[in-house]
Amino acid sequence: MKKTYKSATRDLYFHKGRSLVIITAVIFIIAFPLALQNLAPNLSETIELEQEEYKLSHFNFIFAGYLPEVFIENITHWIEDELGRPVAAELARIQLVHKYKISSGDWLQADLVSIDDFDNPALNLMKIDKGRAPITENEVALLTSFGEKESIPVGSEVELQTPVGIQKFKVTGYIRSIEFASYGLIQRGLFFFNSLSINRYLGFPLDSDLRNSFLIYIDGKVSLEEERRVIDRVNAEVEKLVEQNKSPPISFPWLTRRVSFRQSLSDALDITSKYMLVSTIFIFLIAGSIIFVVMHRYVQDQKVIIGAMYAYGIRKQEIIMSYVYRTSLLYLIGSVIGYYWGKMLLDKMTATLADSWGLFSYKTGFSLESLVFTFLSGYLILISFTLLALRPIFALTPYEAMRGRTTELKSSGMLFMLSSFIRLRSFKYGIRNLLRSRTRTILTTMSFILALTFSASIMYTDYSTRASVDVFFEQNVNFEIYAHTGFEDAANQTKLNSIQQIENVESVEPRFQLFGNIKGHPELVTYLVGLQHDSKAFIPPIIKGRNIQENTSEIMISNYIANVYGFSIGQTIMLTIFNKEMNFTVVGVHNDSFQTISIIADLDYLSSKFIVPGSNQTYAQRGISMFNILMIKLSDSSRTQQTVNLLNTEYEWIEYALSVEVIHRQQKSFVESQIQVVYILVLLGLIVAFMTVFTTQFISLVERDLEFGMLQVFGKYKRELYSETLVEILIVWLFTILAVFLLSPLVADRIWIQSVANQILYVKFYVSRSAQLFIAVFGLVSLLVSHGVSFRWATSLKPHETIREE
Amino acid sequence: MSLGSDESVVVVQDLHKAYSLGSTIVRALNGVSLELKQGEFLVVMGPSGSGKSTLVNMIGGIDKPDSGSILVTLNEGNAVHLNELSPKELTRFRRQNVGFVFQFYSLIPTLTASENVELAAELIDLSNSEMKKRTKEVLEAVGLGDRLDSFPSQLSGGERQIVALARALVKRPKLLIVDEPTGQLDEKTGHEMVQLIRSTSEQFGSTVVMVTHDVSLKKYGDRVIHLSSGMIVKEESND
Repeated sequence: MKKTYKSATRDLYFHKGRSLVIITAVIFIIAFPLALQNLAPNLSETIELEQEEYKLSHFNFIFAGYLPEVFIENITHWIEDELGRPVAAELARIQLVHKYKISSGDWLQADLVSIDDFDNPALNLMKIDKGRAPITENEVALLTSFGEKESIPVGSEVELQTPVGIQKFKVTGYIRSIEFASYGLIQRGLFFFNSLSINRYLGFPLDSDLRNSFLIYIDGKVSLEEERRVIDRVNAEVEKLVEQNKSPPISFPWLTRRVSFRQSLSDALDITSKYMLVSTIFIFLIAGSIIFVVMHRYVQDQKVIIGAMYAYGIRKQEIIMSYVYRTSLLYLIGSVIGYYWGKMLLDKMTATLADSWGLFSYKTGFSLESLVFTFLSGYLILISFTLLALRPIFALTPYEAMRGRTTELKSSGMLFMLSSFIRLRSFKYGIRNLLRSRTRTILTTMSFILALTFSASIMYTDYSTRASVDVFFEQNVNFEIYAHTGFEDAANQTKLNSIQQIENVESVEPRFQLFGNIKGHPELVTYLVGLQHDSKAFIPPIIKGRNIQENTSEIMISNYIANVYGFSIGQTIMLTIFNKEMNFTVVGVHNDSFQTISIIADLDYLSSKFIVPGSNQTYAQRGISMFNILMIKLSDSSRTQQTVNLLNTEYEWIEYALSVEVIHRQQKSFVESQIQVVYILVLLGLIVAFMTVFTTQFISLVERDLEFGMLQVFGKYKRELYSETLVEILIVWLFTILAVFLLSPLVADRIWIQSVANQILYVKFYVSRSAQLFIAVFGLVSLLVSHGVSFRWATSLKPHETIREE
Repeated sequence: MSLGSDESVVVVQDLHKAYSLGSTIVRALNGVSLELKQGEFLVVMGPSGSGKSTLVNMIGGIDKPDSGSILVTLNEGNAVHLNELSPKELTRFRRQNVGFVFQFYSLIPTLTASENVELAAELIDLSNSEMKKRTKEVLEAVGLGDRLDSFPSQLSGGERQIVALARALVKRPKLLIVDEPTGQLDEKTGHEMVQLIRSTSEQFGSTVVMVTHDVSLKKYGDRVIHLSSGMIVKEESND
């Protein structure tokens, strides 16, 4: 081994602190980007694999009424005929949305699903986490996360408000299903019935074989085009039967793998990927500046040796290579640790998200591309910043280098001179020390700013997203209860009047709401919402274009539909409502936190287009609105829960009544699930910020150990040195915090919110005072801790050791 | 000369100090005893590794012996055993009583000449005006009155060492420790430097211990001791 390399290797050992800092920076640029880049693909792959492993159905045709179980054979036949290949598995069941009162007194929507064969279902396989599946007509099982969160133990009894009155069921077990997300995510209850218990629930004879949900699973990939054809075919076939009164219409055809909670997960993953990409860039910048600070100092310390080597005739290239060798060696160590830390981090992040999203399991691994990208860019960053740090040294002649002349330790400049007028010495010295190594000071401050801006801007984004939902519910939702009825109830004025006559009800406004498909986009499930164009109860916030006009085919689309599917104002889109295809013109984009994927049309217009069941008149001709939701405003909102109770228990025609507070909670939970990765990033950001503060602080104090030692020899107490250096970091902190306060709103608004968060919901930027306070305190505490530890290290030399070193 | 006479300001008795360098134990001092009188200029000579610096470091309160004692009576009737002081008490001792001049100047690069001197003056409780006055006075005494606002990087090697001397003298130290002050200087400048140390220390009433291995400088001392292998092997007087 050449002597220069031998000396370089030993030097790394003799300056362990410095080597550790570089290794830490390398760990940053390997571990974080590796974990960040692979999180979304890993989850995505997990979801894909689970869909196959647990045989997630491709189609779920939900009918507006019941059909015999054997009807599934018709659907199977149509699909096989359309696709020209066999259906692998089929299932007929009952699937309903009803209600359940949780222990807090709130009523929630509850999904009810009947399964004939829990042990060996044909598709949508399940996992029994605890207990067993229901067997008798008195038994149900719960979604694991629902049972656990709401503390409904296995073996206990639940009281359900069924269509035929209150009935009790015994909870036999907790089950996880590939089809449903966790309770934490959707905030809806989920009960699994067997065919007997669901019949008892509905008041059907126990041997009834009526079903309303027909599911199909096909082996191998099914393209979107094939799915569209299947939907069209089944719709057309069912329509023929409806005309012959042989079948109720299809209420909604679900593409289970593309819609519902799977869709929200893939949206979340999409957002996650974008967050991760921007975060990776941040990490590279932060780590790059740490490496520069350290290497710069390193090279400065070694300038006499470099000058001597240069003077002895060692070629510049060889000297440079010896430094590249040093950093490469540290990179090798750091990257191995970084790889394993990255794996650990990825495992933790994936586990957290998989758990909260209700996935069965998770699988982690790094893609080859991410490994190549991370290792190459990490090395490139390290070497670039090393060379950048070496550059000024080679601008000096060997003699200048050996004499210790440097362009770095400047004792000039206006600020430096102006500091002479500062009376308070600790400030004067502090400012001069900062000015003395300007590059170091600038880069240190920049690293702090970058690291804290990273965390602060993510915190702002998180706060703004929640605040946007809160502000929406405060300003745009002017009712307290959301009651779901059947469409047939719209024709019954007596029922509507009965609600208006309830004591405490101030006003009732009808609302139409139905799942709808945009023609040609079966994968996009949207809520078609019919609202009075001048609704007082619900005011959609318009972010682009204008409101719909009375009795026109105008619609407003939600921010999500505009962003994800690229629909725009002026465009005509065709919607299928109750098998009827209707054209609408987009006139505005709204930001509805109530239903983030929704299209709002004029209720009067819809009422004029649909016939009241069992008559030949439209709703408009009958002088009534076509509705299935009642938005109920109360005169005394403090008594909301009592009124919700009353509606759910005394009015059996109301399918479920929820307080707006519950919906607010659900929507917030949904939006949070979409940006859940933000919490992880905040944590990572804070770790990175602390490590940045620590490493740069450590280097800037440790490099002055001889100076501190000499000052102690002259009689300076440690506490005096401590307070002087503290002043320095307080000045840095002050500049950092000011810059973070200025920059983080911009980064949050222009980067995170505009390009990432806005995809789902239009998020308005709000300044979070608590985030500001947190960042300021966190920055200060990080600096104080880093300063304390580094100072202790930097003053560990005894006076006589200092003299010897000097 | 008997140890511990009334005039003695420093009494060193049977000092021992060993360092371990890897697996080797180096006996830096091996039973050194000496006395220093008020205002005396002692030159310590000897080859490299003879224990010169270790000895003056102990007299200056920078290091502590393994055994033996160092009794210092700088304030009348107020004698202290340096070997018994805690690190904090040693710092206070150095702060109040000792001035140091080292071979490598050890100036703070971000402070001007006058500020480097003030830095030492700050360590004793002086009013701001008194500190300024003393700084100016000492820098003029050493002949640098016209370079008050120069930064170390703007000064020559000799000038830097003079600033280091001024820094040591500004607090009127009762004891001035000077370790190889001419190591970085040419012969002429070196002699001028030591003459300056001699004259200014007399002016400020300091007792001086100067380490050097330049034999031509021993003439500036009142007394010269020669160390070898951690022991005093020869003592000369320049009466």
